[in-house]
Amino acid sequence: MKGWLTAIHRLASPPVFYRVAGGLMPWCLALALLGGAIGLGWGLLYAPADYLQGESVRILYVHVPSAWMSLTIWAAMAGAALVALVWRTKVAEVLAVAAAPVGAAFTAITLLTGALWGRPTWGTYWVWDARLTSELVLLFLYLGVIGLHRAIEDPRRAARAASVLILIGLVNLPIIRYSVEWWSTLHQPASVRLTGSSIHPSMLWPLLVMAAATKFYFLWAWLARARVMLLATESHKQWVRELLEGARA
Amino acid sequence: MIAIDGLPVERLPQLPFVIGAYAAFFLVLLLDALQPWLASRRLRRELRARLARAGRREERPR
Repeated sequence: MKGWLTAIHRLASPPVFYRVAGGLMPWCLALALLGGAIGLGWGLLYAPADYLQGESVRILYVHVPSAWMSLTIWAAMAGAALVALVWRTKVAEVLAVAAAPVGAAFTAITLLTGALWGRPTWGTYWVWDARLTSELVLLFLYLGVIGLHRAIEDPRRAARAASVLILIGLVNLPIIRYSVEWWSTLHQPASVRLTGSSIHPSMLWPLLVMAAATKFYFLWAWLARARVMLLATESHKQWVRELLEGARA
Repeated sequence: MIAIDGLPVERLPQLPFVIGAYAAFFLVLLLDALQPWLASRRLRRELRARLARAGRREERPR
């Protein structure tokens, strides 16, 4: 336990985080590409078409993992935001904000692919249904965090303001998650739960592989963005100077 | 295919929607992946230029 705490404490140092993140990134990207290739190959070529939805069920291999990511990323941002506000570490501040564009990307994918699945399945691209609307609100929240962070010049004040918004936006996660149970929605309830799934294994496995691939992609993109932000905020520090001189030599 | 009201409905061709969804998925993720890479290149170039300027200032005789 003490070893873990020491390791986490050490990671709060920007140069250590920069180096460790740089070491992890190629692994995350490799696993994301491998998982993506297996999951998409499986989902597009081997998984059967659905007896009701037909071929459009294949959209769900990108829609569902993206929807899971849109919620997971906000939860990860909230964890970092809490650490940033309580312990005021620069790395946590950067991590809280750096994930927002990736979260916005996954939320946009969720809405776009959902609309493209909805048209042949429901007969419409969009309905003002509780699940769809709360997901749209999540996209606006992501854009709000990005906008707020850019609007304030001092990066540390900007990160703290964004962290507060992230923690407030946490309210939206249970609304999205339980919207299909609290309200009568066109969107179906969850088919995959921690307790089990109602999806046949031939369709479930490619979905889970894609879910793992998107998580590794997120880790890669998160670390990549956090490294750039750290470099920008620490640009006057000696370690950045040494890093740049070392890279040039 | 039968709609909720029990009337038969015409099934739309599904392939264009599947292709569109995958195109959107890859396009958005590609843009997302390129952004930090481009930002890192730009920032490193700026910082190196700043470093070089500072180096020249230090070398200049007073």
